[in-house]
Amino acid sequence: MFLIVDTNVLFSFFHSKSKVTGYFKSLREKGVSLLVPQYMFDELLGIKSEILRGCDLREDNFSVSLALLLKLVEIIPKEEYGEFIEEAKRISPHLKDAPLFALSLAFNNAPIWSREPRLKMQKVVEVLHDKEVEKYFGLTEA
Amino acid sequence: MAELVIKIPKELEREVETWGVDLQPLFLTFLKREFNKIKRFESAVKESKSESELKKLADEMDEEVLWILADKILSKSKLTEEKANELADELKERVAKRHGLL
Repeated sequence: MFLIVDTNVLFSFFHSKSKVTGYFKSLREKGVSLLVPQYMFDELLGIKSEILRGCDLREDNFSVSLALLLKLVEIIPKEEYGEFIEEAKRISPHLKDAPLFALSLAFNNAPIWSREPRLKMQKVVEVLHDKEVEKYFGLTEA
Repeated sequence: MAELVIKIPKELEREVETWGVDLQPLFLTFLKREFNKIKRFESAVKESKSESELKKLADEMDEEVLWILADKILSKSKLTEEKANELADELKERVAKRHGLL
């Protein structure tokens, strides 16, 4: 099973009281592959200083969290979903969401895990909020 | 030198007895190896290595060790939901630009 992970969910990982870390554990135990589009981590490093300021974390602490995230998610190269970008542009409520939709289309319309309400403004791909992820995959928090 | 006392569960204790080894060098080797991996990863982040290189280094690290460290680290995080959403949006925009969409 595949689940496409939106950036707002990834960022919850850096949030101390977030349930997301528990969900990540449970999803992995259930054999769900968490997918993100290429460049996600390249660009995450591009805003590293802002993340460090926002979290009030030291750089070495950030590295540990980043390493864990990299182990938990699969980065999918653009070659694997690039051909779906045009179709994704038509479906996607905003152009900046198109890489997520393209990735979903490339993986047989795999659901997208997001906290962004606008992503639900289409009917091609199922978009799941935290609670819906819990229900969809029958999770109990780890 | 600092001294560390560790409680070992019964089942592990039995295994240790079977092998008849001194735990101290074993434990220190493991600890040094894991911390070295973290330092290597940290240097790669500082040098802005590529996603694939970082992924390779991360895959060499022990997941359980990372969970233990991350749980401790992130319990101190001051990131608010509002700030997280703001950063997430910025990240999404950057990724879309790399795809030539914006």
